[in-house]
Amino acid sequence: MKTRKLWLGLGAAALSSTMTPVAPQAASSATAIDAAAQASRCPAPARMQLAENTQPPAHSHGTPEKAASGAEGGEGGEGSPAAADADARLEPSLRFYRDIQLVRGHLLVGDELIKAGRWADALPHFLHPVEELYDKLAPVLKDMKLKPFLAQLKSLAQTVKAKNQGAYEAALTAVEGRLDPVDASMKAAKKDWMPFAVETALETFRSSYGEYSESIEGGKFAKAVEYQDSRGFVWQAERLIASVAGELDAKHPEAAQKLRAELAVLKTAWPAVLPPAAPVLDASQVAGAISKIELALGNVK
Amino acid sequence: MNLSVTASGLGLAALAAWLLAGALAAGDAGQSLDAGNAPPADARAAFARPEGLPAGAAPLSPAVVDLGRLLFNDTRLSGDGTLACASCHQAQLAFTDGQALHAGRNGKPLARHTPHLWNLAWSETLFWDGRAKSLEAQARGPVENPQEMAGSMATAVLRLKADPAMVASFARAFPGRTAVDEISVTEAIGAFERGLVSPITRFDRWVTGDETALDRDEKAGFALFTGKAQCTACHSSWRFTDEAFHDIGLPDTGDLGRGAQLQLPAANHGFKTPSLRELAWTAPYMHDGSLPTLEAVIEHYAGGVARRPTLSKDMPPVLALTAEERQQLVAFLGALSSEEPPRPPQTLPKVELSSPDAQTAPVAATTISQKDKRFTPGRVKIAAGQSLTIVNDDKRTHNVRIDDPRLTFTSNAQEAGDSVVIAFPEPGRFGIICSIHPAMKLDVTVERQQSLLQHGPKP
Repeated sequence: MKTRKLWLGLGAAALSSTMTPVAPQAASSATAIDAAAQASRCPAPARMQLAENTQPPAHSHGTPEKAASGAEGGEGGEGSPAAADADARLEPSLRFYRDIQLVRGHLLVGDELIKAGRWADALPHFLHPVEELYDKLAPVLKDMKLKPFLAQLKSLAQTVKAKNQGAYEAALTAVEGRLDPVDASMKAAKKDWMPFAVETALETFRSSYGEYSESIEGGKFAKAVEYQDSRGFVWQAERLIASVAGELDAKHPEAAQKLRAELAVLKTAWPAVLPPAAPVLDASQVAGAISKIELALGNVK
Repeated sequence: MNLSVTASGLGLAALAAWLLAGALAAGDAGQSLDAGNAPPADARAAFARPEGLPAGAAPLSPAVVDLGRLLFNDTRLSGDGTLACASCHQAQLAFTDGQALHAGRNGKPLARHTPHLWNLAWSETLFWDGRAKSLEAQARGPVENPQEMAGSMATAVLRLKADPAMVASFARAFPGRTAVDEISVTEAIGAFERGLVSPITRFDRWVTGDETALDRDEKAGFALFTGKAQCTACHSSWRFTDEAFHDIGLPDTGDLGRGAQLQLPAANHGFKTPSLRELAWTAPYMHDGSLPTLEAVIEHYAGGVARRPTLSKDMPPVLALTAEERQQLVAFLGALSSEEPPRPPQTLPKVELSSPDAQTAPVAATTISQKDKRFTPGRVKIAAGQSLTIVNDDKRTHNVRIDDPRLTFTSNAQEAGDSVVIAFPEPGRFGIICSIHPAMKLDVTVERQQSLLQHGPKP
């Protein structure tokens, strides 16, 4: 399909001028994250370029190049050289923690499908973290002295293949048991946690756009997995923002109010875990909703 | 003090002398950790994989293994036709069910965790309490357990006989037999399970000389495993099990394990040492499935052990591990697992040509030492009418058992320093094991007096 993108320029520009770069904190973990990622730390120019070129988030899954070619790709920079390049230039700790949200987003929507009894539909969402994300996370986890969780992810996927409810719950708990310390370590490493969490959520929203746009062909949902991916990412981003809602409400009540209103609009794109017959929002409308969220949060710091 | 022990079967009397009642405590007191003790440079050689299935095992027939695979997945073996062996031993979950305790027919959790099935060809006993001595005997257990498959082999055979395709499979597998029967069913399942040899891992490549196969933490974990943490006291051999039964100090749930099986209080709370192969894919852990992660396992050994009289003497009295050491141990344990979920091998394993033990000639001796979980010597010959004195020179509790139609014998718990005297009135060959450490084997050849006099037994 031909993806027509509008947008994100204004929101991204606003953010880049107010929130980025997310300066690495003095804590050793942050240093480790940055070192491990071995990426140039030039997020502001990269994002300004996005704004000026009115590109969609180049680091998100389902970039126009991929969507046009119909090629499959991973989240967070895989799928096209341009996307990978932009993703590599993302601030390292932000990229790392965004990818953690993508893992959680996959698990979230996969769990939703399992609760609906749709084990086969859920399986891709338990395979994607291993296939598309973990390789990027592994060196950072090691440098942060966090426990790896590749085996746990694979084991979890196996329980879904086996459609084994009891084993699934135990394996999911094991994975979450590895993810929770990541959150704790990041919080300890970041002095200004709330703005960092908000920006991570924004990156996660952007990734959801890529998935959403790729899920639609000819005005219909052609790829249910990508639809579900995008739903999982949005729901996870919402969770992340909810985790800092107290501070956000206290410091930026107006922004928080706008965020909730725009998020409610955005979420109408995913009325259920299975795609509707026709999109409630087309890709450009989703992009627009995300840009409004960006604008709402533009002054959060 | 002396204690008479009566051997049943032929009504033979044997005498067990219990000596040095205080030796056990002395032995434990002498056991101290040598923190930081690095393992010998060649320690890894002790974990080298064998070339094939144990020598003496029957070669695996593809037709029998195929039949076994069919039966393993056949729900007709269960009473109501809904469960197969594979319902709990799921291939996709490394032949486990991934749950702490599977629900029984009554809806309540079963007493013990579903174990994985890797490398059972080398097992001395089966089940957590070792109550089955062969895979064929084991195969019947879950089928007929009212809380598991709740069926009967007799009924299963009737159902299988009614299926022409299955009858044909049996005919291919056992061409010399005329009918589907219970023996063939259990033999085929046993053959299938014997073929489940765990894949080669990074650890195996390291053992064979690839220094890059393990990273620094994993190698450090190995050093801890074989050194300070004393894990190899039980998790020995290439399969990381001594095949013995140990009380490792888990909370007492009332399950007496090996002790109940043997009616031997000294073995209470003892459960079979599980192999550590494919560990990452077989969570949760322990016979009760109570520990969900490897970190929890290390935590148990490093501070959660319930101290009680039956606690295994192989457990370190104290195990203080730093956070880094714990992480290294977990890293090492992870290296014992395949990188991808393990699947059965595509080709059937061969059988080793011979075993080192089989090549050892029996020696004339009437006193046998039990030490380091071995009988020494391991093969003896005596004259008919002579007795063997078996002395526990170990720190562990042992037991002596003979299961032979001509002579059955079992000692009670043999604590450190205790001796057991067994008379052998008739010629023949007898196998002796320790019921607590079934890999401990003593091969006794009893010769007619005239024959042995030519060599002269050692005192």
